[in-house]
Amino acid sequence: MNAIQTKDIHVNLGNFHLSDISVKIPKHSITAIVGPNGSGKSTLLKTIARLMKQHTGEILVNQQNSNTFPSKDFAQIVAMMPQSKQSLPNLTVRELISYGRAPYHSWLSKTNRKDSEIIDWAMSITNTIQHSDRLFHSLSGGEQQKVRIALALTQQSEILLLDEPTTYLDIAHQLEVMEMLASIHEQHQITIIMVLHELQQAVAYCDYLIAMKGGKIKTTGRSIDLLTRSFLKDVYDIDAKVIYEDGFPLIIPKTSRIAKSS
Amino acid sequence: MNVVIRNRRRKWIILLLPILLVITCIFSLTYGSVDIAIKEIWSVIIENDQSTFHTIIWELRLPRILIGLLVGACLAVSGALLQGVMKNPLADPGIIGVTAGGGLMASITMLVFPAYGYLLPITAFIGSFVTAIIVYGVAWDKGASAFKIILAGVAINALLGAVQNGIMVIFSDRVQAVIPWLAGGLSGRGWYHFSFIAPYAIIGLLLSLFAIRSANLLMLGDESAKLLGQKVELHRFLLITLAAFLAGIAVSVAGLIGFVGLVIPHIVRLFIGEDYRYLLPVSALGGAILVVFSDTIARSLFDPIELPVGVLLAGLGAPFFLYLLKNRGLI
Repeated sequence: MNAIQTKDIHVNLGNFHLSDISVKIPKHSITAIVGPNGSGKSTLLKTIARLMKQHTGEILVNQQNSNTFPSKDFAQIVAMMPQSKQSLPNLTVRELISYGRAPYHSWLSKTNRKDSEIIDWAMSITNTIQHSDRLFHSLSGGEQQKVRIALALTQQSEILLLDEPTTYLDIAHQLEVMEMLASIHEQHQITIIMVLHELQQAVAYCDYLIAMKGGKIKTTGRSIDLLTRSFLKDVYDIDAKVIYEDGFPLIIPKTSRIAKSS
Repeated sequence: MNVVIRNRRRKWIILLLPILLVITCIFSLTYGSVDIAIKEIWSVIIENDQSTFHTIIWELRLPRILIGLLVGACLAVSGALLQGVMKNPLADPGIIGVTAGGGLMASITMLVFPAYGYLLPITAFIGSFVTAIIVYGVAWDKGASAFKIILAGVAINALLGAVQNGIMVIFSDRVQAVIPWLAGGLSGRGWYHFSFIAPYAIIGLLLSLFAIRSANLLMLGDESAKLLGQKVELHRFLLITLAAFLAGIAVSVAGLIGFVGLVIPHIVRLFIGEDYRYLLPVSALGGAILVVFSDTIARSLFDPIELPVGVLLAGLGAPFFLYLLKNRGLI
């Protein structure tokens, strides 16, 4: 069963196009969208999240045309963490995360017991509960990122999209975020699709890769099968070899400095 | 800002502002060209004493205070909503032309169709609303930056001013009735005017309570709000409509009063943060206090000549606006 299927979608952004995008994303899988800067990764993610409209083609969410869902129903099925350059207001961590319950509320209804339990759950799973009463702007980049993830988790959606969850973080925080996502996936069997720049982590943590280039799908497949020398050549135009050390992929590029010294 | 301090401030402000409002109203009843002692006010209002002060209190000061309260609350809430919707801390119904649009429609009603004077709040609302949509539309380019909205507002304000002048010249025989109103004041406003705007103002202020959730979600940013299932364009439109309605109500009775919608939400935000659950009610109280207090000063300062409160508020508000522009590096 597919959580998401895009059928030949085209997105026209004036000076940039996504074209012929057809992908299938199996339920309960973790998928990374990778590719060089400007290849259309974020655009694809935003189109799936209905932040952008495709001009032709169709997106199916749980086998149903995604445009047929009312907006709140859609937000209960698909949650997305946008890129961290979008700023959030300076509320406390708890206040901010509680907005994740908005899709379950009408204009008047108040936060109820179930909401508080889910907010608590999202804060403890993301390890942000100790910052509950701190103001968002006083947190470090890594902490803010975990709050953003908690906000998306509070929507309790079965599909979670993340746009560059590890960009701008140091390696310790990158691993912390990836481990956290892996354990959330493990425990709750949600479908995760994320845009990642860090290829080694993408392969180590994700079942599938979607590689994009110039607004098109270059190749898709199981991540460990995909990451090869020719893949790096085709998608990134770099010359590098791939080895596995304790099952973790290592990309070793040819660099002029090391080539000279050896 | 620290959360503990923020929450403590919220508590104190919510406790103290209503008290300050009452004190301001009492001050406004006592102070003026004739000073009236508090015990006289007590005997007139509570014991219905028919003394010489009876007329001053019942017919002059009290209705004027009540109108000032509503006008101040409407303008401050309108400003707070516009700032949220336009993502622009400098938005104010006066600065971006929304008040002028309402004022133009109101003066057209008074000068050209005086028989329809009872429709004033409605026509002022239409003028405010159309202006708000035009300014926002002109400034919009994948988002509307603070600076663009101000520039568009300046241009629209100039255009509206020109049309206003043209109409006043053409209908110069009737213009006497409109001039004090245009200067922005509460002079000569009585129970008739109060009963005229009170229903609209109360409806508008109650509706703004329903706007809190939308305004808060919009504050998260368009993308985040959409991802949380909010119909962003619809809500933005509804909030602009409400802000224009509130500004139109204020204009219809008090003329062109500026800067309340800028100054009050700005100061309130500094103290208690940007959460609209607190921002809107506290701004309403703050706006009411500012207008009633300023009007009391304005009518007594150059006694026996009354200064329109709009003039006084512009004198206070314009430097504040310049300070904000400078502070944000816009000039």
